[in-house]
Amino acid sequence: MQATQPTRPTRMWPLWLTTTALVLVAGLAHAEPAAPDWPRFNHQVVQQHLLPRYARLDSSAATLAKATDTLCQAPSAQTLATTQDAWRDAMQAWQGIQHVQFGPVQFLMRNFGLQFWPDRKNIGARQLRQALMSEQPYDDEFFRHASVSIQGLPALERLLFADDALDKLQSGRSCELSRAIAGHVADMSQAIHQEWQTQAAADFAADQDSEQAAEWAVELLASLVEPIEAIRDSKILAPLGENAESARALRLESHRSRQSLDNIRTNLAALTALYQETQPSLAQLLQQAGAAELADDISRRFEQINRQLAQVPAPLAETLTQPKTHAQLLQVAAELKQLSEQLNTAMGVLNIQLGFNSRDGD
Amino acid sequence: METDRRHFLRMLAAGLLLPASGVVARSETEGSVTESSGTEPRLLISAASDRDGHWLLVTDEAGNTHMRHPLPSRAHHVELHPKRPWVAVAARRPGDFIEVVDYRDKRSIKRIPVDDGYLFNGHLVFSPDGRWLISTEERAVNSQGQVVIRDLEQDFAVAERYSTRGLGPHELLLHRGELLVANGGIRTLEREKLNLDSMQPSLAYIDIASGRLNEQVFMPPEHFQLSIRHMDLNPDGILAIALQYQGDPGDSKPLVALHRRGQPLQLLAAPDAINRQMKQYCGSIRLDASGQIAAVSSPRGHVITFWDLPQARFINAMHCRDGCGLCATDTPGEFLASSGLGQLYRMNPLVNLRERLPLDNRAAQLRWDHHMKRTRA
Repeated sequence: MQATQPTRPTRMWPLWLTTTALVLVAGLAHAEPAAPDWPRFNHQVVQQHLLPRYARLDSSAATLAKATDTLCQAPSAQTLATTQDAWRDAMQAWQGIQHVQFGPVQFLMRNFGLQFWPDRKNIGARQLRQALMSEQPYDDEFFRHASVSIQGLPALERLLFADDALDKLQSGRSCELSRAIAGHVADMSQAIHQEWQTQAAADFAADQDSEQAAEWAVELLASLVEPIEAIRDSKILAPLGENAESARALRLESHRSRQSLDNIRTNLAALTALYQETQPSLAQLLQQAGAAELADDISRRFEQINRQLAQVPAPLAETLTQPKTHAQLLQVAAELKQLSEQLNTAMGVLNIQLGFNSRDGD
Repeated sequence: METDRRHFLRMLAAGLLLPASGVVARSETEGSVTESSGTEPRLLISAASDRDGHWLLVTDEAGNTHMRHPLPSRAHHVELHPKRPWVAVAARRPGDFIEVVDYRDKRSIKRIPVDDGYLFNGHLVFSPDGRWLISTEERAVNSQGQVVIRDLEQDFAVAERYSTRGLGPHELLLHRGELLVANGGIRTLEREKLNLDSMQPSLAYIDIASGRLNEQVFMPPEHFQLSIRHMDLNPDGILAIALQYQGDPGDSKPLVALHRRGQPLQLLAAPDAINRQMKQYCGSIRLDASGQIAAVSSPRGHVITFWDLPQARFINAMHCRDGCGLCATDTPGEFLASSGLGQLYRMNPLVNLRERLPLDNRAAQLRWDHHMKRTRA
């Protein structure tokens, strides 16, 4: 064509330019909303959501360690009650950030160290018995080799919330072990907090690399989406059983301290916060991406679930076998399923892929 | 068929006794991997996908993409030819092709279509002499398993088919003239599972020259829904197996097994919380350079677990979002892991090492599929 009509390309050039410009303008007019500003989102979520929650875990675990020291120096109903309160506070702090399962919390299996659960085979009970009968010091070396089942809050719960806890704590090595575990929980919590502060300044700085940012966003968003099914399956459906008669209170998380329902409420409050209480929030990103209706639906679903949970009578260890409670929790489980589906849709809107091989079966 | 069979037996025997001929011999004059001085970069090879399609991806260990070869559909396992710079990639089940690609000249050597009435099941091996390509397949109508031996000298013509003595065979290994086949035990139609209430997963040891069954070990009845799917063999004869559970989502079943010839399966579970995190699903298992440590990927749980084979125990677990492909490096205890999010990690449970490795844009934008291979020095 060029060979037979040599002047044509030159004459065509302005036309081509104009056309291209028109196409470009048209393209802009119909353009997809800009991709989310992940560096800003990540930075703010870490600053506004993760760091304060790890700080709270750090301080509440330190308070628990101090209370356990005091308890063992002067065991009494009073010091035991104070320590139990401190344990509940630390457990709620952990439940408020349990949904984050990447970064410093998974280094050295600290996530399992802090809370080994569920423990269907009762490994914790056996390991605790063995540790109490052993003569080795409960030092760093001990925790390096100890089963994760006796490193954290559930083992401490067994020691502090047994029916005859005060008697037991005054005989044998129970108090010594309690102090050691509380100290270990405080050490792990402090290390996670400090390492997150370092990571926040590096990987999650305000001016982070935008490609890296898209990948970190996946981890942060997975922390919102993935715990929902886990909460539903492990914390609600597993203890619920087929019907009220077959419900199993022993399968509840934190049933000895009667915190099972508080844990779930704290989890959902934390996920609600992660969804819509940061600036910017995921809810806002969805609105900006043109999915305002979905964003609102998810908000309403969170509100609905939080409202339903507020109406369930505690402690679940006692109310679980009541048909009404059973039905209420089934309803919560159904809502969680819906929420999970909506959040997965939201991930599609934001072009976030949480898995490829994980969606496969081969 | 009888003629083919005698031909195969004669050729197989020749391959074991005589210097390599034909395809294999030519490779030695053309400059093959076996002849390379070891200064060539090691390559990582994996099936991968993106929005545009499906690829055979080859990168070097610095993360630079060397080749992105288009494939007709999603693929699964990749296997290196022992003598030539060839890689064979099997379509994901129910598969209809195996493609052999020269990764040095970046060209397709052969795309093998599946025979009528059969399906490729995603895994294959080459014989050590490079003459035979052996794949797991199943009858489309009833998932009856087959190992199929193709002759590279005869343009990949089928030389032999043996029964795997089970349904839905998956990974296979070849060791000292014996084929080890993981019979998953699942009958499928497309990707729908039809017999989850009556599965009989098994491991079959089959003589490659005769098809004779030397040994078959079944999953014990109380674990009949544990599908045997992926495995790797250590030098001391310990077969390490990764399982997938098809039963109640609330169960916490062992997901790793060991087998020694003549013994029952030994089932291993990680500590309960980690076992649950594995989400009843293992995608790949590979042994380290020493052959003593296994890495097992659980992409649904975003975790890779490590296991001590001689002691038959769990070592530890590391986070890897959507991690599935695994291969050993030359360092004992060390593995590379790839993910469906286009990420590559180096991990070593012995020194608690977990580091992200660089990938160029092309490799990082691909979803690396289930299995990964690293070329030899």
